[in-house]
Amino acid sequence: MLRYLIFPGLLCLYACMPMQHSVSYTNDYPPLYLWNKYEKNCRSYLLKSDEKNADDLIDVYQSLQTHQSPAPGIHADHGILMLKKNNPAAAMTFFEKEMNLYPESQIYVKRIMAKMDDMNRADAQNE
Amino acid sequence: MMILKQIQMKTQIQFLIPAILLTSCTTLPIAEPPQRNETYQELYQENPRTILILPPNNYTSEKKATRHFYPALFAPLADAGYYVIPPLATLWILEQENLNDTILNNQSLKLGELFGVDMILHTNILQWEKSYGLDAGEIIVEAEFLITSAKTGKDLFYRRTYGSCHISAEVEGSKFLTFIASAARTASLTVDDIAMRCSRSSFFDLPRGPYSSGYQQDGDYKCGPPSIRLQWGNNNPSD
Repeated sequence: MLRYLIFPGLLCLYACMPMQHSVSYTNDYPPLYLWNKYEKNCRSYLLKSDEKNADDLIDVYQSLQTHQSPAPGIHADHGILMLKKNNPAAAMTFFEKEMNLYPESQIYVKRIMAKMDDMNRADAQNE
Repeated sequence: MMILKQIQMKTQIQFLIPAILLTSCTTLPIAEPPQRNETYQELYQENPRTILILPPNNYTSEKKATRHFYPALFAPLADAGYYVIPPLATLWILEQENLNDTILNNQSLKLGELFGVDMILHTNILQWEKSYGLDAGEIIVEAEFLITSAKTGKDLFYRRTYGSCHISAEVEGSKFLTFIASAARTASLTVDDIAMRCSRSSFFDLPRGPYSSGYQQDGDYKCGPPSIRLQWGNNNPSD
């Protein structure tokens, strides 16, 4: 007798399990910014920080900066690359642009600028 | 007599089964996925604008997985409407401040102050694999994403994503050609491609930030489960 109840019992249990509506894992809003080859070139630079990869990444930054609203951080990272290329004046220009475009960046960009000053002072003392 | 009773019982049960099934089907409870303002209640309350993305912790045998995956995390969060501290500036400051992994993973408030951010994304890479079989190849990326508040230290968002792409290119009659074709197709698709797709999909239900038109408008949108599995196509991996 019991064996006749096992199958319908299991079916009922299964049927009573709360079912989830399916959710599609896609964004509801379109991307806000243009990225071009940003991810690819940034990865190449992080894997191998040589002159060629730095220049390729700068090319991407330059192409993105002509866009009406460049993504957050594009100018700040361009500034970091200029800093690494021993061009602090150009780096400062990009940092200023980042702060003008995105005031949220002020705290960390000013921290970078303060560090630059410390480094300059240390260099001057060593000379 | 006993046999007759058994037959009667069998018949009753046979009628009972569809009756029970019909009843259970009519009362079938369908659980609605929770709304974003329920699941991410604290994130909506905190109203964050900025996020720091820490270099991912790598728990795989691929030594360079962190540097591969790190750049894939920025575009999805910036496109979600947040101000994202960019990767080179983040790495430069972390290096200058000489911060070790213990501080990075446990001191949200200190990092928040240092970078002037409202949230911090911690990522764990759990799988990073590309395999070539005789007749097919497979790419697997699995990662955990945890966003914590840089003001309270509380967890605001969590997702674990498993993404895989199975690639095969069967050539009729030739196992060797099938192997070559599958290997070529697998080689044309990188783990980075799958990682980028995983990253994009992982934040699909993250409440939109202040630069998005969906800012404070998406509270009643549905959100996904904490763990998701993504699979991509066989013959056309770019789908």
